[in-house]
Formats: sequence, structure tokens, C-alpha cells
Amino acid sequence: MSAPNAGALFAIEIQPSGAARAPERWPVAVAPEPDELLSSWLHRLALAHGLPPRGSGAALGLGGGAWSGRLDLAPSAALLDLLARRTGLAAAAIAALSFRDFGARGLLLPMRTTVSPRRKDRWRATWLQACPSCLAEDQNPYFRRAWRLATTIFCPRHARRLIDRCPACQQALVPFDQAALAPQHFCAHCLFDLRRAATPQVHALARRTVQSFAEFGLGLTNDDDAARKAILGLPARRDRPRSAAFTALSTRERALCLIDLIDEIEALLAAAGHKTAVAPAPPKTSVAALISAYAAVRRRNITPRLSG
Amino acid sequence: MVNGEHLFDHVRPWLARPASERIAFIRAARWIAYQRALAAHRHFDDLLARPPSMRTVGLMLLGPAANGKSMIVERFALGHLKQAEANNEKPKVLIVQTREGAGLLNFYGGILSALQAPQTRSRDTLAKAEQLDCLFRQLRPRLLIFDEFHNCLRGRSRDVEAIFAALRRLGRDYDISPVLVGDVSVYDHVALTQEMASRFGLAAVPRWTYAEEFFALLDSLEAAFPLAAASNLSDEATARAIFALSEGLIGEIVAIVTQAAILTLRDGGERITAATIADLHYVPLSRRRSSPQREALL
Repeated sequence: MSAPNAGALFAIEIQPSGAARAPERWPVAVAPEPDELLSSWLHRLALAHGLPPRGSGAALGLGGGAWSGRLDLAPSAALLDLLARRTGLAAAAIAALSFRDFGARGLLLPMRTTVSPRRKDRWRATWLQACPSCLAEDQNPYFRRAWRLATTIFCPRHARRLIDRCPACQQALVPFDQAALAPQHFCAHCLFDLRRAATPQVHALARRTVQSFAEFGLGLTNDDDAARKAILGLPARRDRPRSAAFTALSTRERALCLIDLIDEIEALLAAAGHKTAVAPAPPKTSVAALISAYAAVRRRNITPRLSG
Repeated sequence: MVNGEHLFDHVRPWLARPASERIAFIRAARWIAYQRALAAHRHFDDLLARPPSMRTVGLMLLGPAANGKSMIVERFALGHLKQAEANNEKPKVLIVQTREGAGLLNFYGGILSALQAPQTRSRDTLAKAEQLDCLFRQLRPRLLIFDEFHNCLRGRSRDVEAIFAALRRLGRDYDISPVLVGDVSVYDHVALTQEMASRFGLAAVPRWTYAEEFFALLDSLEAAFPLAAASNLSDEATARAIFALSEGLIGEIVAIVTQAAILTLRDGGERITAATIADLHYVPLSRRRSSPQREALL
């Protein structure tokens, strides 16, 4: 027993402590979708971890209420660091989801998160708009950054007006207040599926101007004071003068404003040097050539092909 | 043998380092691959590889305190984690440090902390259970190891029932095998009812007896500590002394040999002798209550 038998020895290694590893990532990874809003991504992150959005402000060390809406405007550096550490994304990428580096902060919709469904509040703006068709097409429904701007009134892809209220209960869209484990396309108050909302289509003649207006708002910087003031003062130039600014109006009101003042908006865009997308010019032909071409097509369709 | 022939190959280079570094090396926590530990690891591998079943299939890894149970599970979990990271998969083994308070809320909170999920401070047990369901559905771990499981058994009996019911539900819904690591009180609680007893196998980690394995352990420790001269710890006198002081607990054995090695290095020697062990004035665990050390404090 005194001479050690080399074959009978046990293997001994230094064991690093498992608890010494730094707190790592959260278990579920959620990638931000293209042009996603920071609050929308945070809600999806909370839902993926089984937390309803309403209490997850507390889990991140923030207050209650509209915790994620406030973050959209100015996320603190400490919070960005925390999110970067826990999700593995770069802090700069997370900051790009917010409006921290955005130019025209004056064109953002106000942070009003409660509107009364009564008649007197129907014209007031809310803080967030949404396109039901875009939400319906998404695999993971999310809110876009462009939907927080007052100049985005119609969806560029579907040419339908955005909604800024739930059609069922007429309350604002408040995904941060969702207490159930439901994705963001359900209204937080009445759980109505927002993807089913019906919205009017934009008139074909106004489509290009509306598109350009939205792009103009997205690309505006802080220096364009004149353009910004002109946009904010648009409601005053309508027939029924309202003392409210452009950003204080609901989507429906702003849509009416847009349609009524379409000429002035085009002038504004031209003055600011924004090129509206030019429609492709129609081919120049004579009427006779057109009619003979039409006749040829008719003949081809009526007489069946006998060969083959 | 004064040139380190008795040492392991990876330990021999440490002989050249200064004494302070050697002391730090001796103090580090070590994994010792003895038979019982390797058998426990094989048990865990079996649990990982088993086919899906409707019934919870669990394991109890029980033994007295200071006997290396936590070291066994940590070694297994870290090894599995490294393997999973290398294959770019999600880890299937999780160690949960059971929280101190009794009750379902603390139980769920402990599991959520082990998953490193964000938690709110609400005291709503249902909400935490839902969060856990959501996470398990996505992550699908196979083995949940509850370290210090006797912590959550110190409560009202209905709380303990609730925890056992939660374990059965997790096993049924997500095919998770719980491994309960603790002392004999875990065995008592589980053996109370047939429904729990039928679901848990037993892997015991008992005290070491004065036998061949004990000598092999002492020889291995001697080979792992960078002392230039062979101490022949498995000699009758030294081995008896160490066995008496440690009372068969591997944690105590390692502590005694570590302290003896450090004392030797500090005194400038290179060999542990029976005299060194006696100089430690080590009091065995069961004698601590009424030891002369205590008398000196009065």
C-alpha cells in the first residue's frame, strides 16, 4: 500500500467554477425586423421570454406606464449596454431602432397614449399608427418606425390609410399595456385582432404625392425649419380652421387634410427640392395606330388557332 | 523521489514556480474522477439519452454534506455545456440552485434564474408558471439538476406537495428528468408517497471507507499537489490519521491534505508527514460542537 500503483490513480483536474461565468444572454434570441420600432422589438423580446409587456418595464429596471414608448425617443446608454449584453446585438444596432439619431423630431406624433372614445376626442392624435395589412403579412407582427411620424398617413405598400385606434373600442394602440401573453397585433384593451381592421384606400391620383410626402418626412433634418413649420401649419389652411398643429391630429383628420391641400403639399415638396416620383411617360402614338392594334388583338382572340 | 517523479505529468512543471504560486495552485478546486463520481455521470448520460416517456423519470443524488455532490453535477453540466456550444446546440442540462425559501414562487424563481431569463418582481405564482411554460416550450431541456434540494423541503407540507406536483407536471409535459441533489431528508420526503418514490432512482454518494479506494485517493492527491518529495500518504500511520480526521468525507479529505501541503510549503519543506497532519490541529466535523477550540472562546 505504500508504493503507489500508477494505474490505480484517479484523474485529477482543476475544475473552474460554473458560477464564475458572467451573466450571459437571455435564453431566447429575437432578431429585429427591418425598420422595426424599438418598443415593438422590446415587446417581442418580453413575449418570447413569457413575460407580458405590461410588467416587463420593471424587469428592465424602468418604470411603468408607457415605458417602451418613452424609450423610442431617447434610450439611455446604460439601457443600450444592458440590452446589448443580454441579447448579443450591438448597442448601435439597437439604438438605430429608436429615434435617438433621427432628424425631424418635431414631426413625431405626440406621446398621447389615452384618447377617449367619446366624440370630442375623435380628432386627437395618438402616439402610434399601424397598417393592418402589413401586420397581417408579417410572420412576427411588428410596428415600423415610420408609423410614428405624422407625415406617414398611408401605407406605401398597400396604399391604405393607417389606423391609430382600435376600431372596436376606439382606444389608442398601446402594446406596452398588454397584460396577456398575446402578440402585438391584439388590442391591449379589448383583444381585437388589429389585422382585421378595414381602412379606406388612398385615391389613385393622390398616391404619388402621399408617398413623396411620407418620404419627405422621413428624410427631413433639423435644419429644415421652414418645411417643418409649413407642415405643422397645414391644418390652419383648410376650410375649417383648427388651431391644432399637424401632429396633434388623428390619422383620419390628417388624411382629410392631405387630400384637401394636395396642391399646396405638392408646392411645398417642390419648393423643398424633393422630387416626386415621376410616372413613366405614356408611349407617344397616334389614335389610328392604337385602334388598328386593338382590332388585331380582337381578331387574334376570336379566331381560334387551328394548328397545334 | 525528490525530483517529482511521483507527480502527474501536468503537475510536474509547477515544481519550478515560487511557493506562493504553488500554494495558489494547491488551493484551487479540483475534480477527482473516482468510481462513484464516474458512475453518477453514467447515470446522467443514461437519463439524457433515454427515449421520450410519459412518466417522469428522475434521479436522487444523495449523500452527507461535504462529500462532493455539487462538484459531480457541476463537472457534468460544464462538460455538457462545452459540448453543446461546440455543436452550436442549446444545452440540455441545467443546474438550478434551489432557493432558500419554501414555496412554489421561490421554486419557479430559482428555475428562471438558472435559465437566465428576465424576471419581474411580481409575487404571482401563476404568472411565473406561465413564463416557465413559455420558456420550456422553446428551450426543451432534458435534465434539470436541483442542487441543495433540501432547501425547498423546509416548509409547510402543502408547499412540499406543490413542488413535487410541479416536478411531476414538468416531467409529463416537457419530458424533463429532475435530478435531486441533497442529503437524506430528500430521501425521506420522496419515499413518503408511492407516486414520488416510483419515479426516482437513487445514486448514493456515501462516505469513504478505509479500503483500497481510499489509498488510491490519497495517492492521487499526492500526485496532484506539486511537492517535490513523495509523502507516501497511503502509509498506515498517515492514512489512519487522515481517515480519522476526515470521517470519510471527500471534501474533508481534500481540505486536510490541502492544508497540510500548504503548511509544508510555508515551512519550507517538501513532504507531508504524520507530524504535519498532527500540527494542523484539525477538528473532525462531528467533534466541532464541544471541542477544545470552543472552550478557548469562552
